[in-house]
Amino acid sequence: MVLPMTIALAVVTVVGVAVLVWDQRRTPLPSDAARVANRHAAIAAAVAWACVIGGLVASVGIVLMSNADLTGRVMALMPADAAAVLLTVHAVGELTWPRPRGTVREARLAPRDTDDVAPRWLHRVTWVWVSALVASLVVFGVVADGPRSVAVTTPSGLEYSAAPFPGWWYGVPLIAAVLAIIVGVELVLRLVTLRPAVAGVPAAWDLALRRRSARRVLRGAQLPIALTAAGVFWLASITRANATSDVCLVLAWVFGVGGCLVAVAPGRDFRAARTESAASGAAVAA
Amino acid sequence: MIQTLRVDLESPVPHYEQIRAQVAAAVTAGRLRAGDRLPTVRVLAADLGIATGTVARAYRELEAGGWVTTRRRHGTVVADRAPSGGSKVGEAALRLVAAARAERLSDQDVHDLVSGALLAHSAPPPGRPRVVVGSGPTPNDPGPSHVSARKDGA
Repeated sequence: MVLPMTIALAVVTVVGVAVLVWDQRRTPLPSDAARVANRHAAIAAAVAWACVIGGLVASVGIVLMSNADLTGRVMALMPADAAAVLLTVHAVGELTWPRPRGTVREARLAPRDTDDVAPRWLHRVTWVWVSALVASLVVFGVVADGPRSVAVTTPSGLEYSAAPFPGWWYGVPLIAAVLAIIVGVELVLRLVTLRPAVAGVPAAWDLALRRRSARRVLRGAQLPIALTAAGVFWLASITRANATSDVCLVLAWVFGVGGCLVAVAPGRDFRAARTESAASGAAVAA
Repeated sequence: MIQTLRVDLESPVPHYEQIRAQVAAAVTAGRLRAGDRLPTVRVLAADLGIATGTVARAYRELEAGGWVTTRRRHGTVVADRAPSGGSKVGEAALRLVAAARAERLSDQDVHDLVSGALLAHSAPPPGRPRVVVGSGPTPNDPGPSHVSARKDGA
């Protein structure tokens, strides 16, 4: 019990500090309000990731160390729990975003919506993971011959029921969880869109910070969905002793590796602002 | 061009009126064109840090004045035929401001001049017949001096 907690705490500390330092260094900060806003966003992201990683490490540690007899359904829902924690922390971060101050307030008469804020490819990837996971769970539920078993016929003609299989026993809670996650993602993206603009900064800087926040939400939320899909396909691959098991195994790798790659894909939200500040710095030096 | 809206919370002018006046001015000046989308009530209220009801009232006033229209799928957009956009009065207002700039008058001086002109030609109370005495040829009254009576707004 002590070791998993220690590991989780260490991971929490390292991830939080690393994200904060990295974030502060690479972001141009044109004003104090920008500094406060950027710090707020970084802290929310660091806490969210720390909670997710620390929670997962602690959960796995507890399971391994204490030989806890958790059902497969509880373990299957662990990534969804992590996503719920991540979304909750991000939502709290957006709801506590610094409010406009001063007696004279300014706003741009320019519309903005979720499509302006959320990176399109990342948004689509998240929806693709969700659609694929729900579709696969429905298919597996239909082909299953029991709540968590499937009928398998060997080449010799022998029929038996193989388990565990991602039938409705796993499918129903996982579909509910993944739908709840995607609804939560859309709600948090809406909060990112609606939060007050940072005062005293160019419109492009404010939009870049929103896109970074939206990117963090999407990157964090898509990973548990992809890992859940990988687990579902892996489970299907080990129980179906025929040609489809190979396809399921390949899909498990595609989802697992794909989700991890998307989670670490770097963003380019502040590239224009960094180039601009570097150019102005060079001009001042000259 | 992105128009910036400014609201002074300590001004005696109501917040919704400040928003309404600035949007109307932006349309008149051509900085907002027909079909341009305005931010949603919630976005503008969040950016200004004021109540959504205040922004909603400003938008309602703008819609009632014909400056904007609200469509279900497109949100609030600048109307095709916003009042005074391209009208003779609008052009006269632009000439007035240009003349004021040439004379280096302040914005407050221009406001005072317009207020004075409005006071000199104050509209009669609604519902009463108004007596108009022609003193020379005007675009609407090219004939010689005459006396006529009409209902305001007729």
